[in-house]
This record gives sequence, C-alpha cells and structure tokens, in this order.
Amino acid sequence: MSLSARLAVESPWITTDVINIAVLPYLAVRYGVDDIPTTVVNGHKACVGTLLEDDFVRAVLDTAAAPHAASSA
Amino acid sequence: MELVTAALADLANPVTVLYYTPDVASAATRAERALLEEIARASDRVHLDVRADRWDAAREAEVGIARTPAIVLRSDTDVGIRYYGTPDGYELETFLGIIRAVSEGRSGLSEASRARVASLGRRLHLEVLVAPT
Repeated sequence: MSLSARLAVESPWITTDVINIAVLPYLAVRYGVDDIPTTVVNGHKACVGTLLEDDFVRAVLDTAAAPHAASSA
Repeated sequence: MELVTAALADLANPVTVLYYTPDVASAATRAERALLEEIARASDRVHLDVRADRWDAAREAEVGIARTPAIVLRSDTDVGIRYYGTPDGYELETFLGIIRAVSEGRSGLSEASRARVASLGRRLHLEVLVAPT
C-alpha cells in the first residue's frame, strides 16, 4: 500500500490523491514529472521514486515545512 | 479475482467505494466500473456506490474531487483518499491495500512516523502521480 495513502489514514490533516497521469496528463507537465511515482505536497514536488518509509515521511514533512509549500497550504 | 478475494478477506469494517463517473459512459469508465463491481463482489464488506450524474460543481467541491471519474474510499469516516484513473495492473494491489487500511482505520506506519505526523497542525495535500501499467 502506498505510503501517501497510509499518511492520509493516519492523520486527519492529510489528504491524498492518487493520480494516473494518463487521465490527468497536464499535472505531469505542471510538476515536471520525469519518473513515477512522483509525490507532490501542497503543489510542490517532494520526492521521486519509491522511498523507504522514514525517507518518505521526512521528504513530505520537509517539503511541507519549506516556506513555498507552507504558504500554499 | 482470486487475488482480489484474498486481499479483501476478513475485512474489519465496511468500506464504501464511491465512484463518481460522468453521466455519459465511455469505454474507459465502463472498464473502471466493471473493475470496481468485481472488487465489490469479492467482499460483502465492500459496498460500491456509483454516482453517474451530471457534473455538479457544488457537490464535487463538497466531496473534494477535481473531476470525474473519481473514486473515493471511506468507512464511517472520510480519510481523504481520492483516486483518479483505473486502479488496475500494479496499482490494483495498492488499491486493495488501501481498502484494507480504510477498513481497519490503521495506517500501519511505524511508531516513529506516527509520532512525526502527530505533530502536524495544518493541512497537507499529497498528489501521487503514477503511470498506467
């Protein structure tokens, strides 16, 4: 099961969209996707590829804490 | 079908699969609906609710979906997971795992991850871009 979905189950503060880029290709362009899976947090790319849980959670929270992402939450 | 049945065996609590689909079906939405019907048949704890209505911006905003077709997975609460695109191929196993997690209401994350997430005090919206397989 995807870690992003686990996060949504864990926290009421987190929502997760799982998006097949074949149905929403403009998002791949918007986020500059060059590999999958690509995870975006509050509109900002957080990580690419399949990460270990610790690394993934850190990437998500670090991206969310960055000023650009915090301002678009 | 055996994979689906095994993955959904002994679910703890009922899960509703809300499928928001356009009122005019296409080959893609028919295939997607057929897959969801197969999943619902595999467990008496999975209920499929098809909403094949015209686009209703107010309703979709309330549900939190950006377009149709969209799949919402929920138990007695909405945990905020939305699916855009048919969860087939490699995504099927992931999708079934999410159904189980929603049913159990448990993320399965480590204690350390749960502690880090517990300190959140504002909304995070994750978008995971995957590819058809």
